[in-house]
Amino acid sequence: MKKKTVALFTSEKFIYKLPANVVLMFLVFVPTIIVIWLSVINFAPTQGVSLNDASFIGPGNYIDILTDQAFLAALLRTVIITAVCVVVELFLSLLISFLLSGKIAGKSILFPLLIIPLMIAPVVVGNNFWLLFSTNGPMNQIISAFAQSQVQINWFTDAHYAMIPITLAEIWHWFPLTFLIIYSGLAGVSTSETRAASILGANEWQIFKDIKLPKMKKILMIAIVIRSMEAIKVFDTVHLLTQGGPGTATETISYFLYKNGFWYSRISFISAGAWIVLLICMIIFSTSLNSVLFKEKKI
Amino acid sequence: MPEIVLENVVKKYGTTKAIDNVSVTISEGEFCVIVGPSGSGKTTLLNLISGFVMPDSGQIMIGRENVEKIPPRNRDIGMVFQDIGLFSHMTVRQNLEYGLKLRKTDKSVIQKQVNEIADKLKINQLLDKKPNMISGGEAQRVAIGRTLILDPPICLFDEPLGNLDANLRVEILEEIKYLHKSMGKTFVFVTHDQEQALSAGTKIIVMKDGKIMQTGHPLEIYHNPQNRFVAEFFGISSMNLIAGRVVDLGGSVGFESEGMKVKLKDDLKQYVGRRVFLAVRPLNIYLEDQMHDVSGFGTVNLIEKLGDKNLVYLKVGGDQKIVASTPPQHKYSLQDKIRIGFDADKLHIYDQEQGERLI
Repeated sequence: MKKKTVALFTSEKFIYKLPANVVLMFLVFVPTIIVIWLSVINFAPTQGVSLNDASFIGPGNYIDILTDQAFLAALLRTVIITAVCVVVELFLSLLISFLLSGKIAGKSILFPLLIIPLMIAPVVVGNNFWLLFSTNGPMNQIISAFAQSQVQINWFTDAHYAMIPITLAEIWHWFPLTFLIIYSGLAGVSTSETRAASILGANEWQIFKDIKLPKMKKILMIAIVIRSMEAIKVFDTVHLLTQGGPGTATETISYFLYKNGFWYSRISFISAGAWIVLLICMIIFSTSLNSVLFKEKKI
Repeated sequence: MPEIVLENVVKKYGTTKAIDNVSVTISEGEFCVIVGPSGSGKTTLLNLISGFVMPDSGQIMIGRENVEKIPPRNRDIGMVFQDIGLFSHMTVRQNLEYGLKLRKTDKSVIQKQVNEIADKLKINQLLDKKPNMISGGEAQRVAIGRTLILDPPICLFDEPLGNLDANLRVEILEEIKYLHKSMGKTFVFVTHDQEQALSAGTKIIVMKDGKIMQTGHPLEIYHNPQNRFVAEFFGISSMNLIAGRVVDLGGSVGFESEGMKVKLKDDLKQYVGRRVFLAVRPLNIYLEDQMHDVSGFGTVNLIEKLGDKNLVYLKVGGDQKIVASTPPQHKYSLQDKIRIGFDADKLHIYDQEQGERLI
């Protein structure tokens, strides 16, 4: 027994892995443990409970947050934004990948142009969309031109519309990511298969639909998971455009947690919320990835 | 009728000419083998016919129709690829059905044709398997079936045996030959293997550096190679190449090299003085044979006993080596000095610089 322990700690493997393990410990385990600890006490500095006075209250915070209407509404809102963004972005990515798969003049110019949004800082994207959708901004003017009458939508202050610029900004900003993933996936389909299909009489669309797309299951799932993880955390766009308003009409999960944490200092409350969101994400993403990536291996 | 005609076709990749002014006709029903070393342009030639590569200049006609504007899917040809290219997400049956489905064929007809082709290629038991569950030879059979089920008048094979092991290669080649005989289609078959070319083709196109070196029947190519490249490509080990020059032998024309004089046909008179290679197969060299004129004497260096024949390695003149094939009953010993004769009809003379055949 003793021998083994010694071997473990002096073995080269352990020494080589040590720096990475230490970093990992501080980056992952320590914060995780702190958050777990915070989520089961009643630490709320602005409400008169300092860290010294805080006491263990078990699942109290979890019950509080799961019965909080604002939290549940924010959760639902986030799910909707995520779903809309992912579906629209996937559709756009597939469409543009298909259009770019043929021989198109100027592809080498078009391609980098399509990736540009990804390179722009979120603050700039937010500001641009704020200008675009301001009451006297170009969006209202374009709609006016089509409607043949003066239209003045208050995009950011009308609860009916406030989600639209946020969602559009998210789609515009992040669509190149799914496009890159899908385009490279499509490019990886072997030419002998596409040529075989072509010589059997398939046109470009049939090759795309019958040969390329069915091979894309894994890649589509990866694109969905990566993009969803990003979308669920949506914060910057909300912060720049509406700050969750009007009222709580555009409050997403991240924004809800931010507001309660940084404005109201309900530290323990949001720790519980963060845990719930993390758990939901882990369950959904790991099952969806497992179902696609590792299915064949299990047989 | 689906005759394939290429006229002055040029295809460049950058500055290299992959196909350099090629003109060739492949008649209906032929089994045409395009053969050549790697990078000789044979696959490019096939892709020009299939339409995956467009020529820079020149014309390609299939059945007297210029196919320049016709995409591969409408050229009515079949193609089998070296890396097989079965649709990996479909079962073998779905692979076979795919072309017919694109043509909106009736379901019962599809069923019938799939069963027919599966019988013909002995792949019935594979129909419900995915391509990753079958062997390389089976996969290539399925690929051939997928092509032939559409009954195209022209079928292109791009090194279809390249990824198979030696036994399977022979087996599948036999099947392809049988299919050609029984279906009467035009087959164009690319390979770098000269044995496959000789055994399969009714016509061989030998290529090198984007140019056609020789076109003709396999036997024609084997026995009368037009130039040194073709002679060497088809059996380099078996051909003796002897360097020398054409000389005037007092009235008649001859070939002379160190320790050797061979009488040649008189129509070579114009080449007197030219440096040439004399090429002769071991089979056409006669040792100690009174029936043939003496051409020189050689010293026996080595004898290989192969059972049905002996290979005698001779040293002639300074250091010229010659291999002769003799019946096993002939007995020579090492260091014997023996007389060498050639079968005058089976000699080839190649220009040393150009490589062109003079006779």
